Amino acid sequence: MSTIQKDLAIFKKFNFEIPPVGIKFLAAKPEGIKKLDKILDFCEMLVESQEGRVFYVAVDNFTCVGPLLLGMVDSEPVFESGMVGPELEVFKEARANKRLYPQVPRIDKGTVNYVAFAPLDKLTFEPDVLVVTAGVSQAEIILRANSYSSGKVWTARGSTVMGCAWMLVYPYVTGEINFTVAGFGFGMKARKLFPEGMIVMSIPWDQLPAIAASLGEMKWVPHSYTIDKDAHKAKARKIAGDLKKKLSADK
Amino acid sequence: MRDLSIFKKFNFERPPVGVKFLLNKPDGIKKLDKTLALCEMLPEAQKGEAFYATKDDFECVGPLVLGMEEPPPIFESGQVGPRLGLFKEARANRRVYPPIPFLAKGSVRYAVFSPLDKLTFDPDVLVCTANPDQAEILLRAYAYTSGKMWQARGTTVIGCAWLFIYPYVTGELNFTVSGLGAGMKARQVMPAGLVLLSFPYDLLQMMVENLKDMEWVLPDYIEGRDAHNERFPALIGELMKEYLAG
Repeated sequence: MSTIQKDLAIFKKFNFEIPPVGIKFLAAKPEGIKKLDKILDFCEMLVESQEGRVFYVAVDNFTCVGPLLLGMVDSEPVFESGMVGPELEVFKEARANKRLYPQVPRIDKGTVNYVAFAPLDKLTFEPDVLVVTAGVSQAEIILRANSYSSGKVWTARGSTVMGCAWMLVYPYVTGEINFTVAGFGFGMKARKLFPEGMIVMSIPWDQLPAIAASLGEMKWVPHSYTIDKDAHKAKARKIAGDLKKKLSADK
Repeated sequence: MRDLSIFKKFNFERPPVGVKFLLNKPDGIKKLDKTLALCEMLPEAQKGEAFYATKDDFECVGPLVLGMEEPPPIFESGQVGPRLGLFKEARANRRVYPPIPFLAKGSVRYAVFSPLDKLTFDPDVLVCTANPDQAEILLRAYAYTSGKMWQARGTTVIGCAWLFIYPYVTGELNFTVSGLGAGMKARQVMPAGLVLLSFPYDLLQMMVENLKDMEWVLPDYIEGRDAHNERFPALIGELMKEYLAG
C-alpha cells in the first residue's frame, strides 16, 4: 500500500453514509479496470462509483458537457454560445450563460483520454481528487483539519450549471479544496444525485497528506462542542483572561 | 428605501436580517440590552425586533472586526485557537488574521440589525437564513442575468467577519453553512445545515429584479431525473440541428 493510500485510511473512520470516491485523470488507458458499460453525465459517474463500482470512462461514455471540460473535444458551440441555459430557464439570456464558460475550470485539450473512478475501499490507484459526500458535522471536521496546521481560509466555488467542473476538475487543476451543498447546482438537482444538504467536498491529491495528518492528530470533536453555549462562553472568557494576565505580567 | 418585499415570498423559517454599519447613532432604534457576540446578533434580530449595538454590547471578536478597538494581541498572535483545540499551534491560528475582512479602525461605532419586516433603513448587508432549496433559488437569481459564478469564503474561526463584513467591504455575495464555523457551532447560534447567505447592498437591486422575473422552481426539478434525462438530450439535439442548419 502506498503512502497516500495509507493516508486515506483515516477517512474510513468517518463512516460516511455515502463512500468517498477517488478519481484519476489519465492520458493512457488504465490497466486492470473495466470500462463503464453505459452512457452517463460526468456528475452521474460519481454516483455510479459511490454505489460500489470501479470503472474508467472514455469520450464515448459521456453525455452533457463532460468531454468539453475534460478537453476531450474541440468545442461545443451549442453549449458555449450560451444557448442551452435559457432553454432550461436557468439564465435569462444566452449572453449571461455564455459569460460563465471562461470562468469554468477545464483540462487542457487532448491531455486526458480516460477518467477512472473507484470508491475508497476499492481504490487500486492514487487518486488525483478524492470526493467526499459528508454531513455538515463531518464536513466541519475536514475543513478544520484543512486549517489545523496551516490556518488556511476555505473557499468554495461553483456555478448554477456545470457543477461537475467545480467538483471534479477544479481541485485537480488548481490544487485547492472545493465544496458545494447538494441541491445547489441545476444539473445535479434535476437529476437528484445527492440527498439535499449534504456537503460534497473534493480534495486534490496534494492536499490529502496534510489533511490526513491533521485528522490523525487533532481532536475531531473539540471540548467546546460538547458543552452548552454558556459553558463555552465562560471557557472562552477564562482563556482570554488568562492570556491577558500572562501578557500583562510579561511587560 | 429599496423594496425588498420579494424576499418575503420565500417564507423563510428565520427572517432575513438587514445590517447597517454606522459612524453615528441611529435615530428611532433601541440599543441592545444585553451583551452578545456579533454572530449571536443575527438570531437576536430574527426574534423580531430591530436594535443597534455599540462596542460595550459585544463579546468575542466583534469590536475587532468592526474596527471598534485596537487589535487584541492575544487573539492576533494566535494564542486563543490552540487553547480551544481548533489549531495545532499559534502560528497556524495567527495566519488566519490577515485574510480576514475588517472594517477600518474607528469608521464604525454602531451596528444596526433589523428583521426584514421591521426594516426602517436601507441595509448595507442582507443576511438570509435559507434551506438548501431556497439557497439554490437565491444563487440562481445571482447568476440569472449576470452569468456569475458563486464563491464563498470563510475560516474555522471568526465566521462573523465573513458573514457580515466581507460582503460589505468587497461587494461580493458570501455564504456559509451553519455548523461549519467553530464559534457559531460552539455558541449554538443556528441549527446545523442552514445556508447563511449575505448580500451587499449593491447586489440587492439585481437580486430583486431577477427574483421577480425568473421561474423559482424549474420544470426539471419537478419532473424528476428520468424526465430531465430525456428532455436534456432532446433539447441539445434540437439546438444542434438549428446550429448545423444555420
